[in-house]
Amino acid sequence: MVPSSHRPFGTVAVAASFLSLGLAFMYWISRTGFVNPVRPVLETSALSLLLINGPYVAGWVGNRRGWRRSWATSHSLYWLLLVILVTIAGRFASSSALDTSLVFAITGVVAFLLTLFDWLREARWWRSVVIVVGSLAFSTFAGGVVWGRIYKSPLFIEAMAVGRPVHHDPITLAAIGNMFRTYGVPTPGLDGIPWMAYHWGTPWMFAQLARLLETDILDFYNFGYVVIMLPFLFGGILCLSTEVRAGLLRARGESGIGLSADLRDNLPSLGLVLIAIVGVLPITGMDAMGVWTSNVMISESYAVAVAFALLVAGTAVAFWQNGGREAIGSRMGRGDWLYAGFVLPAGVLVLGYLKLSLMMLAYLALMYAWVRLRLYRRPVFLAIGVLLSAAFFYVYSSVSLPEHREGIVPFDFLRGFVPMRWWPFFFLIHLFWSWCYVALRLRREGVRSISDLWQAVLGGRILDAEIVALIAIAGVGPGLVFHINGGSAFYFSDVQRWLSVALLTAGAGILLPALRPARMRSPLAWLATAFLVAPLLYSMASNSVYWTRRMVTANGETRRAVPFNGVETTQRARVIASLRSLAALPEAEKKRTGIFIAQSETAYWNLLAREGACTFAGYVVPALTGITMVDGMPAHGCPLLPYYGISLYEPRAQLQTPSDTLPARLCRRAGPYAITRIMTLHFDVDGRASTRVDDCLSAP
Amino acid sequence: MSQRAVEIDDRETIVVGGTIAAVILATAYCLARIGFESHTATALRSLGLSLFILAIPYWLWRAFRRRDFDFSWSRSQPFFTLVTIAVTAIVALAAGPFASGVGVAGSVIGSIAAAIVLFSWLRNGAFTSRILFTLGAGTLSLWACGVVWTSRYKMPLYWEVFYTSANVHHDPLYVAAMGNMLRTYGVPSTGSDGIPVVLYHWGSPWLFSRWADLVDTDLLSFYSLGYALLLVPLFFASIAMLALEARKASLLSRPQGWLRSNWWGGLALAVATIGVFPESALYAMAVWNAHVLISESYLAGLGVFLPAVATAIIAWRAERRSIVFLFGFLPVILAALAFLKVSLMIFMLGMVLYVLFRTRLLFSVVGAASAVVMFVAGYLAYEAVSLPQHNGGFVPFHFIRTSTASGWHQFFLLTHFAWTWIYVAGRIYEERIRDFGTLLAAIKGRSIVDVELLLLVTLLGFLPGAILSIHGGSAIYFSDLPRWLALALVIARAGHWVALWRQRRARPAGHRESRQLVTILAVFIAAPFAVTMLLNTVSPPIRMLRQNVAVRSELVVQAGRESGLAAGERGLMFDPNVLAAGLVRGKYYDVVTELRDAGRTSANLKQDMLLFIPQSYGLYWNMFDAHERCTYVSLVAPAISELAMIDGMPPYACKVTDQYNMSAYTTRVRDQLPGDVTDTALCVKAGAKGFSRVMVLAPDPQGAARRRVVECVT
Repeated sequence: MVPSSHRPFGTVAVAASFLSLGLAFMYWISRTGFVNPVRPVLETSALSLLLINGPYVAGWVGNRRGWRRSWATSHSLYWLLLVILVTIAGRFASSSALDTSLVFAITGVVAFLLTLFDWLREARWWRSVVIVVGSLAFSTFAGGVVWGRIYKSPLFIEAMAVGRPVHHDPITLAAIGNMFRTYGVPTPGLDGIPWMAYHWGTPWMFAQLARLLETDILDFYNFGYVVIMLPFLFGGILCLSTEVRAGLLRARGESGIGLSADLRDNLPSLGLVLIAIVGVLPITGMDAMGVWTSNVMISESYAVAVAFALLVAGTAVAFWQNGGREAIGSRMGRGDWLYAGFVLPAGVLVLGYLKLSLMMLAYLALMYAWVRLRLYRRPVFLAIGVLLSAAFFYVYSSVSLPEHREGIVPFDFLRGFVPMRWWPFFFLIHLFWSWCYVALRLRREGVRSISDLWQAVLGGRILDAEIVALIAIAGVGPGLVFHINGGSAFYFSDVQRWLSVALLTAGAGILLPALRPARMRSPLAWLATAFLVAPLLYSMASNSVYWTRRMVTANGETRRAVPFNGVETTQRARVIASLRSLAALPEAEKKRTGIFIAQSETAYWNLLAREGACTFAGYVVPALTGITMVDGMPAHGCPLLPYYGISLYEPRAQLQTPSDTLPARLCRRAGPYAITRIMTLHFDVDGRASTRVDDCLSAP
Repeated sequence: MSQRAVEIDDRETIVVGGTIAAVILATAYCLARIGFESHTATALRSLGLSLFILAIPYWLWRAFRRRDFDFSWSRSQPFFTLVTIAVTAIVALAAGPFASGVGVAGSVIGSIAAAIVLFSWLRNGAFTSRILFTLGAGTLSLWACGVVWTSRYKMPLYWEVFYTSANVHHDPLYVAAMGNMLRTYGVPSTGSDGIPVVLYHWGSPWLFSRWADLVDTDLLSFYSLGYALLLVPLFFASIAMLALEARKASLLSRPQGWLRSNWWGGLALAVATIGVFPESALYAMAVWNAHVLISESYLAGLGVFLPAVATAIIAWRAERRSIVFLFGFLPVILAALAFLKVSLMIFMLGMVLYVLFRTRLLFSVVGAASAVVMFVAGYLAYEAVSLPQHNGGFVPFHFIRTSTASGWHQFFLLTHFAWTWIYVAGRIYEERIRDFGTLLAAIKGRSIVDVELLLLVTLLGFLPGAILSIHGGSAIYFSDLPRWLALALVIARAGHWVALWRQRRARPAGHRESRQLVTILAVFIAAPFAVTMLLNTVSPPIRMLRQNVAVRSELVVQAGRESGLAAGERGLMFDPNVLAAGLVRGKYYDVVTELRDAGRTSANLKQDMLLFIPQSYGLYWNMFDAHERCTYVSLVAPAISELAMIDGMPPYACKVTDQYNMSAYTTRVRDQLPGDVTDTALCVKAGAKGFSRVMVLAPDPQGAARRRVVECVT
């Protein structure tokens, strides 16, 4: 057996760690002047370090103990397992006598230091410095992207308090997470807690992690998510790349091929990742092609799902390259069956709860491989395929909101987001990375004709390229056929970018040199190349600071909007503070309580300043208190969307009447959900809340 | 096939290409005017004049040519083109009142000459290439129709738009006013308040006023019709001519039908003019494809500049240096270019001096003397035409910053001068230049003087916009020129480069390697560009059609037949009676008609007459009511009536621009008073400017425009 080699993953762990630390520092600095305790920042960072470096330490232990290399000892699986275990730990955190966040923090720091020292020993110092400095620099970009729009902000609550626009997404998702936490039901909690079909994986996950870190979910969305999950995302890309490189290295006999599994040894290949993330065309140009820079980071469900999917793919690569390929064709061991029959299908199904698009594409890819490898010929695999398909449809029906299925609208994504004159370029540019990978792979395999291609396909030599092409083509399909609200078709068509980039980065050492002709030795060719590349590099540099500048500007604007006597003195701030204080109620008490705020309470219902935000005002109570509202649908006349679970509730047919606010009436509304207490909030002109609690059980 | 036949075929192709363009433009113009006052006679005369300028140089070349491959600049087709242009203008000037008759004769001769060329070209076999060439030329011409006639600068329904909404651009009014002042008074002026001489490159207004005489029309009508029919075909023919002479000078082989079957060159022409990126993207990179066809001075300048460069190439290739060329042709061309477009004169002077330097002729007495003569000619012409107000002073990267889309500035050099880089790359590949050593050797051996020249032109094109603020984005007239020069050179060599590339990549005999997937990949990558080019090609004609229909619909509505239109009676839009009824009810019909009638006053009378429109005539003075356009109303009357105004500056409340030579006049310091509009007051003002008649255009009590002439006899 070949011993496990964990060291190449040190680059993944260290890069992700410094990204996490850089983001945490940005957050902390951004809050200077406001309530800004350092402990939550440190604890969250340390938890992130634990999740990032734990797998490396596990690999190090496995290496020392001589564990055989397999999918079960892969870095990808360690990472996935650790994230799952820590999330589950969060579920039980409050019932533990230990200060779990402190324990995790200390463990995280130790794991990070261990990883860092072990990693530093391996390569030339300047390469390590490039990785560290590059990761810190990248954190300013990533922080800028995620905090430079109105979706998330280090000053999210402060922005709400001073009446600056904030996006409703974090509020709605925090509401769902909180409802999960309090009632164990995925629901927005606008008027009771009916069950909602939705990919509620991340709200659930964030609820557990927030509990572990003893913070509220909205804060976690604005900080914890960024510091923990963005390194998970980018680490996931590098991890898959490293898994593939390690496999390629072994397949090619460890030496003499100009390839090292450690990405640190091939820094230009990391440039590909940067190009894919930051872009070498101006942002307006990329936007016009539907290549959106920020969405991968601002959409928490997508970011987590991509990371999860890439790590699942990493385990598949480890399985394939460590005996799985041969085993599938002949005799499967117990471990092989465990992987093929449970781990991989489970990984695909879990994706459904994180982001439906990822599950659909992963399922498609898996079934394609199932067909291409002719696994259906073996009864057990046939059964696995059938069961997986059945489970797939079950998960699909349980996470897909019917209101999101809005029928066939040809070229909907193009019509909505790509200027018509740019349509001809869409397939070329939007799927650029996939075409790039497929073309280079074909070139590498010497495929030059249709006949060659057919032979390569029949010989199974380009299954990876086939899957990439499949995901690319299938990914753009939904947006071209169906109406998917808010440009969410992007979450199908963008998946190929990260898979392709990870594979390209992995194969950079052997795929790209073939492109360099002999004449590139000429100084004039270099000069011409520099002339061509210079504007692209300039654009990349410009893009890399664009979001950070936006973030700084947004931060400054919020600060300028703060009144001279402090942010806490505004009416909105007092409303928010009153609501947040309710979050501290005991869980048991919250579980049987519903909050009612009459429509006449404008201090609450006008809390969100953004135009058209009346639709989402009802989510603020569940998002901040962790308690469902009763009769919390938006005011009559406010335009409603069918999304975000709003369609679960009856829209108001008329203005709220005094009789609607009677406790008995409210108790009747809340009754089906086992809510026996109605807490009615009233806000005075300054925003200070007074509460009245009505016990439905003692009501006449 | 003899070299003679090769030469004739290529030169005929140039004429045929231009003829196709001219015929299609004329046809499109006439079709666009169906149902309106017929301009067919003017269109035919303009078409004939256009064919005269295209075909006569060819016949002169055939008549005076000595050998198959002579490098005699004075017997070349480009030189004869320049001569023909000059002759048409001079003859028109000399013919005076008989210019119209001379124009008819010229049109007939031109049509016959072109028809013979067309017949000769068609009868020479090679059916496929001729058909494809014809289709290509036709498509490009249709595109050009759309581009030139969808702006507010020039339209087949120019007058109809003027009558109904006056929604026309002020630039043609400015140059038409200047041309009219030259035509009526012989003075370059805009005629807003008398006829003070203004500094401006007034060559094209003068030339157009002469051509307008030949086709017997007014200057504004000529701008919409004659300009397009004469200069657009000439522009394409000039590019082809330059490409042909460059190819000839390169001494590369040229097969029979080289020009008509030069597919790579044709593709380059289509890409450079129509574009393979969406129009918005080209615009974002300040690659303004429409501009070259819209700017009359630029297009007229290019129609002289490109043949002049072609002539210079021939002269440069000649074995013997010509004194006439150095001391006659070049200084005259430099001066002419200065009057047509100053930027082109600067380019020409720079190129000539560089060639003199590189050929070491500059260090000889003759060369140095000719350089001095050219410099002096250029300088004097520059002083006569350069308007100080156009120079906004030193502002680094002004053009890039103001004319390139935000966030895309870094791509300006790469994209705006793309054709230069393509040519330079092609030539470096051709010459096998791989390092600085071979590059230096090529420069020393003068084997890439063409590349050096093009780079110089590119630098000259880049610098003005990079260091100066030039009003109205006019730095484009510097930075755009390298494109057309480079394009002609690329057309000359594109096919050769492709052949060279194939030859150098040729596999050893017996080695067979499929390239199916490479081809598929190439098609996949090229497809979006091809589709975009197709869309770019059809969208201007479609826009033109829509604009035309919109004007017609508006007139039908004005005629009170809206209900019929709503009921689907599309024929109303082409019904002459309905359209005429709509026109008469146009808001500005009355005043514009009166001004046009004023223009028909005899030339003798006009020479001693000024036009006065009192400020109280609100319909006129508020004609351009859009934001900050009031300043241009002063140009309307001189542009239409061919008369200079007196006291014709914009109203006191109007913010007067310092551009368009407005600074030649005194702006109002108060509102016009009743005492300012008496006949006596007007005569005093006219007398002070040396005029004895004033035509007063003012509304009668019913509000209708009325003219009367005040004789200022003491």
